[in-house]
Amino acid sequence: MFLPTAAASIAIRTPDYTPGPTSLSGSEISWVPSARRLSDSKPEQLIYITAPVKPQWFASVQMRLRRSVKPNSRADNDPEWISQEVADAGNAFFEKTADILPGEPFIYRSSLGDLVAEFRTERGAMTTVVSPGFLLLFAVIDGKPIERQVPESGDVRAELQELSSQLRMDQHGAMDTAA
Amino acid sequence: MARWIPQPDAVGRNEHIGRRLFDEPMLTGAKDQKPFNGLLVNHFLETRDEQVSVDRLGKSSVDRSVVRYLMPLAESAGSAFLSPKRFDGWTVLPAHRVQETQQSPLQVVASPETNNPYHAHILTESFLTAVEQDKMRRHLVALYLRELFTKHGTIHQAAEVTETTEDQPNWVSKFKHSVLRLFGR
Repeated sequence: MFLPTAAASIAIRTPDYTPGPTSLSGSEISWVPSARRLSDSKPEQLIYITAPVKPQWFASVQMRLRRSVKPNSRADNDPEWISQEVADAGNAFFEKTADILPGEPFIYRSSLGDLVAEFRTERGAMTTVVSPGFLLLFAVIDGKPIERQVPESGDVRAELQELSSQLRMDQHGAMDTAA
Repeated sequence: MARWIPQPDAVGRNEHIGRRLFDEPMLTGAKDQKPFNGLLVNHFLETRDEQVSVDRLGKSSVDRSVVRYLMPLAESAGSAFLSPKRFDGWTVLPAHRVQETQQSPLQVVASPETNNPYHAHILTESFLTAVEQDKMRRHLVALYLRELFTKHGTIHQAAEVTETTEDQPNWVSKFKHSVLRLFGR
């Protein structure tokens, strides 16, 4: 039986291959394992991080924000438009949190120019005020008001997770989906 | 019956105070969303100062003659906005729901104006003082006030006022409503 050796392998010639000026002897060739790659275009870490699935309403809300950005011709305090900065802050908020929000928001501009998103569930209500400088979460769960002030550098998902899960919980408590 | 005249210096515990509700425009790009059945933050958000304006609508309940007096003032206030807004009515609750005690951080104080002896303010300076950002605090005050009015208040619609006329006896009004009901209007 023929067993391939390093020397035999290096001797294989393909039509587009031109040997270099110096020929290698078998002892000079060492086997170097190639780096394990799953994709030519994405780093491996990105492949393993699963992006949360966005709810159906996400694209509509993004579209609503985009269509509401104030053109230069409109006044700054026009209640039917929001500034680009506020729209960007709104987009970033929904991008980060859409999968844990309790449902589709009703959005409008606050009289002070920021973005307000209202959520309603059977258990209560939550209002978020999204500003380029801060984020405010205000929920009323079983008649009790709860507020969270999230600074620019704060962890929005962590703050929201608790409120949102309480809002989605039915009266009998959290449902365990594990079998 | 003569119209109730409030004391110019003090607001009674059971007086019914109302926050005016104006039609709030939707965002241009968000007119396709489902309507929201509730009070908006903007209904309680003051852009000028820390004092939230309210009307004293009656000594222990909503007084119709007071409401009739205030209607044209409220409608005229609506048309004075940069983009005129329709006046829809008031959200109303007893004053003691806002000002539970004398030490309460929210105080209701009488502030009669030349043309409106029913004008009052909810003072909010002592409320949520730990919040550093002014804009965030204003939003929070509005959110808490909305929650109070949602939980303890009722809506007094402007349409209810325009339907009844001052000189009509009660039985005429009832008869008129019965006829309208009969014809499904």
